[in-house]
Amino acid sequence: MDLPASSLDHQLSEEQRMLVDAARRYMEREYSFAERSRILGSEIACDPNKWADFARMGWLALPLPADAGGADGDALSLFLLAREFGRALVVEPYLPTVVLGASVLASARSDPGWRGQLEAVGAGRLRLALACAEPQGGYDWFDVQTLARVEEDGYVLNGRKAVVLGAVGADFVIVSARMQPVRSADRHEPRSGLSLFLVRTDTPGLSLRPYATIDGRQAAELCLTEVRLHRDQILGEPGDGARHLEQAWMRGMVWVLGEASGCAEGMLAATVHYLGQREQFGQKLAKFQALRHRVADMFVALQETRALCQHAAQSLAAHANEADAVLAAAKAWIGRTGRRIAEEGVQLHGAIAITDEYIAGHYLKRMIALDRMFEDGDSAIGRYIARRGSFDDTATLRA
Amino acid sequence: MSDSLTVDELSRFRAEVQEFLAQRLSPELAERSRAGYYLSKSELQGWHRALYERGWAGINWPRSHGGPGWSPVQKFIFEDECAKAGAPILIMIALNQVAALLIAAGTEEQQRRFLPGILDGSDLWCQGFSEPNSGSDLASLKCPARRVSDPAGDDYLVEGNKIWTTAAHWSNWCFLLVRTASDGPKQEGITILLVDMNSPGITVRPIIGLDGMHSLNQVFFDQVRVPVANRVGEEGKGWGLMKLYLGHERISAAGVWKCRAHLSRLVGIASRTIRNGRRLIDDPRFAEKLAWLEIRLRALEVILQSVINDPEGARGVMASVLKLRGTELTQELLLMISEAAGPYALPFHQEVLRAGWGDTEPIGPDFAAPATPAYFFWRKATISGGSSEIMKNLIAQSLF
Repeated sequence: MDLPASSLDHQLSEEQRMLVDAARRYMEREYSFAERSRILGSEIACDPNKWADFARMGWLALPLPADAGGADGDALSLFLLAREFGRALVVEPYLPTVVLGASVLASARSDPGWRGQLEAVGAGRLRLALACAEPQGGYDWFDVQTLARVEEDGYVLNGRKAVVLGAVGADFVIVSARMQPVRSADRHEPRSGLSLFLVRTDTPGLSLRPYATIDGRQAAELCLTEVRLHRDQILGEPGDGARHLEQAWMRGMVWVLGEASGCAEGMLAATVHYLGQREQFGQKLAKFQALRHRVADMFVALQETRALCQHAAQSLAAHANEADAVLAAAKAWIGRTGRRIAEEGVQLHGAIAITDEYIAGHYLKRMIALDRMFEDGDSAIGRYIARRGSFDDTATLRA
Repeated sequence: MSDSLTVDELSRFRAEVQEFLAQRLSPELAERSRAGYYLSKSELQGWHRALYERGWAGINWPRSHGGPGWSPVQKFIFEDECAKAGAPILIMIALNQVAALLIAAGTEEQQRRFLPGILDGSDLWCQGFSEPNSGSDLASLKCPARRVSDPAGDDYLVEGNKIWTTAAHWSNWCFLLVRTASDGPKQEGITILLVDMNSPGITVRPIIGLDGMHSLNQVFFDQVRVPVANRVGEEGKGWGLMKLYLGHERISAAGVWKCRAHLSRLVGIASRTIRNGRRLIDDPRFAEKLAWLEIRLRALEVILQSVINDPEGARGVMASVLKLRGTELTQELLLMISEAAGPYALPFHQEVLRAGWGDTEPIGPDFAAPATPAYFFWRKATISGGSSEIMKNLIAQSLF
């Protein structure tokens, strides 16, 4: 089911359009809803053949730096790929490995081996996870109580990490920790003093409690008990970890915005298709004006969603000053209007959408999951207001 | 956004626009325009003239007809700066819609005759579309016109009336839709005529709006003769041409730039207004409402930029998207400005709306007098130019 062309597509370069077309064709051919359901039944929600396809398509190397065999793809390319992943409701751990984990490795560039590790990510031979958030910290990546004790030849980690996407099946997990407990005097500087460690998932003392997420991915709670690390397992300088997390956080946000845009698009397409088939009261549902107007509202909301999310990706790609505020605006939008689109899709389908065997309900699940990643809509609008400060209108969209 | 101009060239262009505005726009006029006071016909024509003299009146016109030949980004910058400077908002019926239609479908003779007066602002145009029994269902319009050939000329004889005609009392030309055949589907048999408002048999009756002001009219045509040479396109084929016209009208009616100006005015007002012991802008509930409005506006600005860049977009579904959401946003912004006036939303000073307070001491804050009348006046935004419900019909049509 194709939706009418959006003028937003005219903003894209030839290369970006090719990326979108190739991903759209692949998902239509290889990642049907039935195929997805098959993958969900497996233990780690990552089909090896699909992952190998992603590598072959060049997607696993898309955002990696050129000096590590990557394509140096910018935030906009990442957004466009994420849109197609969201539309197909892909469950494979692209976000934790290629967006979050690889961003940190590429930013820290710690020897030995960062280049080889990233090349292995691009080739599909290495999977990563990023363990920042903790059970007590909500969305705050800097509320970290995990401690790294310095010993002669390295570090010993103790602590817990919450909702670590892609942890099962990952080769390495990147763990944030502090050398000293946070004193109340440091609370206004939570970003300082954070260190990052590259931990093999089979390291003694690291235990995983895995589970499926509400939208079909895989995640785990991590418990670190006297996890002994060699001193070269620290990423970057001690205490300087926050810097490496920033880029990962922003790129992760862009990925989530892309998935949400694609998810909303998929929901609208499914709804339009269903209303054109289903008959009640002797005619197609698509003939009822009350329903047509609600679908029209979904379409408009989708255009706004795409505009805000794509604009946020473009701002980040262009290193615009306002990128941070624009990302917050788009994330807030997903939490409100993105969810509304998905809920409307369920309502307009009717009972079929509240069954597990039909795709519509899964779009809603994915949208809700995306709202709860990085920061939810309420946190995002709060952050937007704080960043925007005085609502200075000179910072309107610039060419 | 892709553009042939470099960032430096664009910022020089922005500076050029700012310089023009600083030189030609009087602060007094900008202040009244920004505060929502009503401008007179001569004030609007004066501003039109200033734009014309600079070569910036028909910014959407092709260069061959006197347009400045700007890129989409330049147009966006120009509108953005004008809105921020408080430049008067001209009646764009002729400059955008009538001109686009004449350039696309008018004869050479019609273009030679009408375009110069539209560009320099010496002619003011109104559009005769709606009728008392044809509102949202525009294609059902009845106003009949019958072809007559006699010693007085080869003419159409128009007999009927039009309603909700903005600025008919100021205009010397009317872009009129008439019915020349009624035996086929309603979309067929509609003909476009360009009518001299000084023709014998035309009567204009004022309609006073909720703001107490006169901008709308009913126009009666009593055996009005219109030369066949003033017909645009073929007889009975007007509806097909209107698609082009209405796409431009929707984008213009969406008022996205006006929204940016309203928003920045609201921010200014909220920074000066004390409510419940603190500045309104520091009230968290107000700040959140404002943030959402700003985010919605940003979405529309991004869509508008993409539509300007996409020549197909103006005729397509995106114009309906912009009209639907832009008018909703306009109304909410005007409501918030009215709310910021607090109890001073109540006093109604009709005589002040055009002239301002002059030497007399204002009652209430300076922005208050026109704030609530403007809210009332712009309830029309989601009704005229194709109501919100019609926009949803059009969007649904493109989906199913």
